[in-house]
Amino acid sequence: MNIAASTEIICFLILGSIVILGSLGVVLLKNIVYSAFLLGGVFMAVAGLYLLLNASFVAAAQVLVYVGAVNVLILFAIMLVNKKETLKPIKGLQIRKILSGSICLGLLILLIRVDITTPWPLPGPVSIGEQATERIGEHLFTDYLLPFELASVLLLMAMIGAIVLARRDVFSTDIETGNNAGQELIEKSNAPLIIDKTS
Amino acid sequence: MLEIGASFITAQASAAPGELLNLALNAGTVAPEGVVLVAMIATLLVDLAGEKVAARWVPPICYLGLGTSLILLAFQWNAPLEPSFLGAFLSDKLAIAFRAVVALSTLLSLLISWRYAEQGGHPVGEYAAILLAATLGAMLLCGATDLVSVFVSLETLSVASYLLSGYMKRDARSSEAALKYLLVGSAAAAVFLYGASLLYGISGTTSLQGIGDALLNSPTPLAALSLVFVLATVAFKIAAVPFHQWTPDVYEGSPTPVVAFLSVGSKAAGFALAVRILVGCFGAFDSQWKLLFTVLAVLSMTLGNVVALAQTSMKRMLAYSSIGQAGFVMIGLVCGTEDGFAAMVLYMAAYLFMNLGAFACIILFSIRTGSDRISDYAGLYQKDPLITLGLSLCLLSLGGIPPMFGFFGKIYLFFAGWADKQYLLVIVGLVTSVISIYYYISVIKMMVVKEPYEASEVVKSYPLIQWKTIGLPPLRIALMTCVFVTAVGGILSNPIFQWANNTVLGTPFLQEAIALSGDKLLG
Amino acid sequence: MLIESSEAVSLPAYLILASLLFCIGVWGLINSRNAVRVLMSIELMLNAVNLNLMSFSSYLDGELIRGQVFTVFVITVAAAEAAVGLAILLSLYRNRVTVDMESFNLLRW
Repeated sequence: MNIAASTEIICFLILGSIVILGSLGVVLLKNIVYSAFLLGGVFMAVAGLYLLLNASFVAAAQVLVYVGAVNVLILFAIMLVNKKETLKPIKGLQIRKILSGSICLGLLILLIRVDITTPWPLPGPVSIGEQATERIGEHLFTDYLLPFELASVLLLMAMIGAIVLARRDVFSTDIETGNNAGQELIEKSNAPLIIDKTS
Repeated sequence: MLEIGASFITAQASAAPGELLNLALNAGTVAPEGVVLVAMIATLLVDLAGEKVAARWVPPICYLGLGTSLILLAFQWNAPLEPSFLGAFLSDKLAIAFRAVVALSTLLSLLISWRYAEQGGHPVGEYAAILLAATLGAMLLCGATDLVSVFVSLETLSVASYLLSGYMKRDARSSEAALKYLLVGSAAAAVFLYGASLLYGISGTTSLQGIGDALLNSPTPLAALSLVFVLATVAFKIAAVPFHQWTPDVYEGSPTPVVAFLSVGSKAAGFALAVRILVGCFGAFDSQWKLLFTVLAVLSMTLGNVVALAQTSMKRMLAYSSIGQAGFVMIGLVCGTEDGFAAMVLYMAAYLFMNLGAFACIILFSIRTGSDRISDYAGLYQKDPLITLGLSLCLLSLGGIPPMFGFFGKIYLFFAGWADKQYLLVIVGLVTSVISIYYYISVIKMMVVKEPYEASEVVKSYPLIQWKTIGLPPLRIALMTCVFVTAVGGILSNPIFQWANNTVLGTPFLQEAIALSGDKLLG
Repeated sequence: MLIESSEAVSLPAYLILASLLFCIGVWGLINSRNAVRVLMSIELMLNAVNLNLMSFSSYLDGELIRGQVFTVFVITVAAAEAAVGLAILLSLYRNRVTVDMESFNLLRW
């Protein structure tokens, strides 16, 4: 085994353990701020794995979009809704966690089993390596042109919608009659959708 | 057709850069979607001029865009069939039929939403724009033949639906519905993507046709696993039991016109996706997915119709009834015969009119009274005969009472199921139909049979009927159109039968699947 | 690139890592009581999918790398979804002043 191969294996093991431990931290830690920072670490480690797979463009996109945008967005979300909440204890929560844990474990064993037993058609075609970025560009303007254009509509719509929902005050009168409007459903609530146990 | 993109890319490597622009994209097939996109952008631009201007000009822009889109779809009907965007989109007759259903459902949902949005004090410009974006996603989903286009169009539809269901932002019910929908929907999308990534791994391609061919050659356990993943997501989109948990809460919390769109347009797109993926791609796992879908259909019909009996809110009742209706449509999908697919298309068309008609009536009622409780409808026929008549006809049609449109759709489904020896499905369908008739009739009884002194408080203080307010005339047009088609469509259903059959005949991949299953029966 | 050949680590190793990440995401999705944490779990699941796609793309489809393009789309859509999720969460928080999933999770018949 040459040096390049052993370096690759070591890198994979380190990055892989960061991904696993980090993601466990994301779902298990009590303090959600730690979880958010660990999530950033997981995203960075995944970007490192993409570099190992010879995909520098996607690795850059991963860092820019996931770490730079999604993770920051999540941190903002935490800061905006960070009221100290004492969660009401729920009966059978432990049992539920163990039960769902065993289901997930079963799913994991199933997935790993098929991952190992499937006869992958290896080795595939020779990797184009550094020309990947050009090839992605070619794809985006030929056979993936339709989803590419649609993605721009999706982003535009998500931006407008997010602004409309998060904006605090817009006019709230019925513009035809001038009556005040509550920006609520017209149907009055029959029974609360959530039973508020605090009040 | 399978590897157009791939062969092009490899040829491209040696070509001069300028030749990239001389592609045969065949982009004319998405002209109907293009018109919807133009309408969406025009809506947003008009909206910049202020709410008054928007309320005046947004509706005609939307009508114009969707109407043009429908006309363009009609022109495509007899056009020669060629894959466009190098295999990312295919405008076969099935796609055209379902795109027409989606566009029509948006048009009718918009007609019934203006007054509702204005009365709640909501900006109509952005509302219309997001709904048009959802339509765009749903229409492209109906014809997408590549996993990437399927995913992006599915997400466009989903993200727009999340935004729409949270649109009444001062109302906790609406925000909560949106959050639930978002979390469940994103999780479903992630599961779908996991299945899609496994399919890509097995076949090394993202085109559905290529994946279908690869699965035919090597049906491995991995393929079965990805089938389960993909099927779960499709079942989520069409709200089949046990993936229906989000439906009642989302339907109750969302603005009613949005519910109308979700229950028809979004569901139609989901069925188009189901046909394209299951029939076109998982042909090798024919008996497996049919078995799974049989179970889903039986559960949906039973649970949807039985639980609907116990509802007190009209919106919630229609939510459960729509779960049951999805179960009926699945019978056609499970059959996999020519009649089965045709019955599915026909029932979707019938469902479009009868369900939107029912929603138009309950929206009108809630605009006038601010209630959607079933008991508040008591004695309505003396105050508002139009709502009473319209709602009665639509509910009778949903229940499958003879001269209505829904009856013919349902009988065709059962006929197709019986011919294909799906006795269990047909019997469950018949029994649950009877149950559904019971709760539909009990609403009608509530409206019609009560004496004047038995009328509910809401009906006793019913406002004077007037149609002057802007936004109400379109609602009346939509209501009357839907009720008229529901009532007359059954009697004049022959051309629609023809249309549904032509849809199946003009769709190559359905014909292949039918021929394949016919061979199996003979051999 | 640092390493020329990518044969030292085998394809199943990447796939197993992705399955682990996916299952952790699923567990977090089911058990988190904080709505923000649920959003984070969904991001973990999407990253598992991306890892799957990228390793298939590198090992089995090295010439056309369609998996990489797919991943770019998934990243784009995930960003849009996160933004919409945050907006909805904020508007819900204004109405209800809680992010506890248990108080939203009232499934009624």
